[in-house]
Amino acid sequence: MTTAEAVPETALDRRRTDDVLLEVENLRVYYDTDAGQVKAVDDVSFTLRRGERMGLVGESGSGKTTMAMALMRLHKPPAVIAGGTVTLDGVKLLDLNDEEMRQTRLRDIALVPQGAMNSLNPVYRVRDQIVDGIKHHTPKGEMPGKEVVNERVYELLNSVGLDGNVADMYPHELSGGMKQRVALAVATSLRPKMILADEPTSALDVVVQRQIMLTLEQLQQEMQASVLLVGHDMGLMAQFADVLGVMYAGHLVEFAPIAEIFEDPKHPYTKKLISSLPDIQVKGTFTGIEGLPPTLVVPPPGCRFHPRCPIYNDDEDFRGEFVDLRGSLDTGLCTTVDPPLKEMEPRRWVACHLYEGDA
Amino acid sequence: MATQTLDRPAPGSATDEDNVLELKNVTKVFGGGIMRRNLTIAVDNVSMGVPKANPGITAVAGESGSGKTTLARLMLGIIPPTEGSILFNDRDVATLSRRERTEFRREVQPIMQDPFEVYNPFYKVDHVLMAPVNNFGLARNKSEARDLVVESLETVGLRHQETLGRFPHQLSGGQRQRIMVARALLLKPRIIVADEPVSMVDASLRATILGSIDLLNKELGIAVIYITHDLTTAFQISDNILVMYRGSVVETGRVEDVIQNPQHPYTQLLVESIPRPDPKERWGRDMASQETGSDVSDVGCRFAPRCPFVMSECTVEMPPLYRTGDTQAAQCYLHREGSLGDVMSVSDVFKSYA
Repeated sequence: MTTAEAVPETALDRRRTDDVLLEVENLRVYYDTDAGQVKAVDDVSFTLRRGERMGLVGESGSGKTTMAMALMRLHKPPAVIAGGTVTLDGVKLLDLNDEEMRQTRLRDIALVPQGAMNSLNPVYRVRDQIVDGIKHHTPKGEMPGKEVVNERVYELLNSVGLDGNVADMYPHELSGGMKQRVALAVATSLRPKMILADEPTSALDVVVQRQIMLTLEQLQQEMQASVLLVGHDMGLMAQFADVLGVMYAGHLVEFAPIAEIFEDPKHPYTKKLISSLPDIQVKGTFTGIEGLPPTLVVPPPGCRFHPRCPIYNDDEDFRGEFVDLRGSLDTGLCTTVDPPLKEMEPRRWVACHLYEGDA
Repeated sequence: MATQTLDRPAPGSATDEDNVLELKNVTKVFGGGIMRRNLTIAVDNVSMGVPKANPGITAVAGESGSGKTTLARLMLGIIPPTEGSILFNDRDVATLSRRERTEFRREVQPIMQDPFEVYNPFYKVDHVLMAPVNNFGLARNKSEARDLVVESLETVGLRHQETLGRFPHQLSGGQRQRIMVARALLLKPRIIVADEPVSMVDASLRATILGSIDLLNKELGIAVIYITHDLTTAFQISDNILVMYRGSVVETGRVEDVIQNPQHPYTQLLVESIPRPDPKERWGRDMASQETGSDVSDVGCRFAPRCPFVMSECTVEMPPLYRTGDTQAAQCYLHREGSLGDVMSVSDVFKSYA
């Protein structure tokens, strides 16, 4: 059992690279709305290894946040988990009862929320917010004594780069970056196996963003925890993630190690996403992706990306890259069959008819 | 031209008649009150001009609390400066006649950060576009007004069939923001002040919106002041840049030079912290220059408490903007030696390469 000062005895084992920590299989999260059923997360599968950092990108409305929240069963109605399994270190999270799930949160899987500005309770001192978390997620009778807990609070604050005296401050006395550090301290208070971070730095300046991300990385490495970082900033993903998942209209359309996905993106959407990234080296490299994300009430038939797909639509400035591939593409499939996510090479998954024959 | 008595006189700053809008030693202080505590110098002695001919796109970059939004509000005439003056066509904005003020309001248009906030949810988007047409008497009749609106929508890449007659909630964030650009465009202003126009929209839409802002500048010759915290988009669409830190312009000049070869330690820190979209070029792991929150210094360089190169004079007196090259200036004593002179107005630097 993880007590406040326990060191994970399995730290070495956790570095085994083939060691799967999180396995998500055919996860479906639907919203029941007046306009119809919205399939926000539709048949998503992936695995995350112990100690690995995964990024998850997608446009707003792609289902990335809904998916992340569902992993912790923190999705809010009208969202319901309509199917699939989530296995964390051998435990099937969707089969747990509410009390068991509550004990799993923070101890095994913890959340660093979006905009810590609002996630801290304004009338509690920092110390109380941290102790509160520990208390709520530690089984009755296993709560360590007050002195041990206080010691742990200082230890946690130091681990996120804050002075011990911050413990006695209220959230309004802290800057945005300091609040986000407190949120990191809360999330890591029980040394979870997995940390879920939903755009943790979206409201912060680049300088502070870098400090927070490096602090998160440091904590993660020290605990050998896995991280799922949800966001839309490909730059941040390139800086932080080991593997990247790309979501589009409720589907995971590509999953690959970060270097490979930047070097050789397979899915046309990922391709577009990466080629349209602005940089500070060359001017005029800023193009964007035409069209709007589809409505998920009535998604486009076949591949959900086909109305915006540069290959399907045979965009001139995109032809060179894919000319050979397109020759063998049966574009009829794009409008009729939703391409499944297939493994092309170990740890390279893509959902696109272009690679039909390769899988 | 009535010269006000200022604490800090403007040396040799004769009014530049080539400017539409000019800020002369503008300072804005918030708070204070009876106790004279909690004074915040949001903008500290900034001088710059927006030229009539060939106005480019000028980015004002900085983190929150740098004073960039206050500078935008000063330019728009929403708030008056505490010290210094703002001139519109050589006339002090504070003393404009009613007629001149209407003209000023038409010629200097805002595009705001949050396109959700500016819409009344009970009005169709037509209202947002028709209001300026009616208020400024841009059209003689209804059909002419509609033509104007349709034309401005098309300029920003929107089809009027898909936008007019709809309510704000029926449009995407990107569409809403482009309608704001269309609205600004209707008035054919001289200057557009865009405050974080893309911070609320998806990365894939950013390019489209910034593209339409770029178009306003290139095709219609409208000067654009682009307020942002994002150096990458600033680099992509701007010609000039001002980097602000706690109210001061710490570095300015041609955008390529400032971002690719920053001279002020703060700009260097900012550029170094950009999450570059390349996994092979990851951030340095040194955590120097930690932000500690309330380390404001009232005298000397505002960045001194965080600066890795801080010297004794830095905490005594604010350095001037030293010209570090033909196209660049930095407010830092590191550049006193070898400086090509002090810069009085930011736009003097821009002029040297315009």
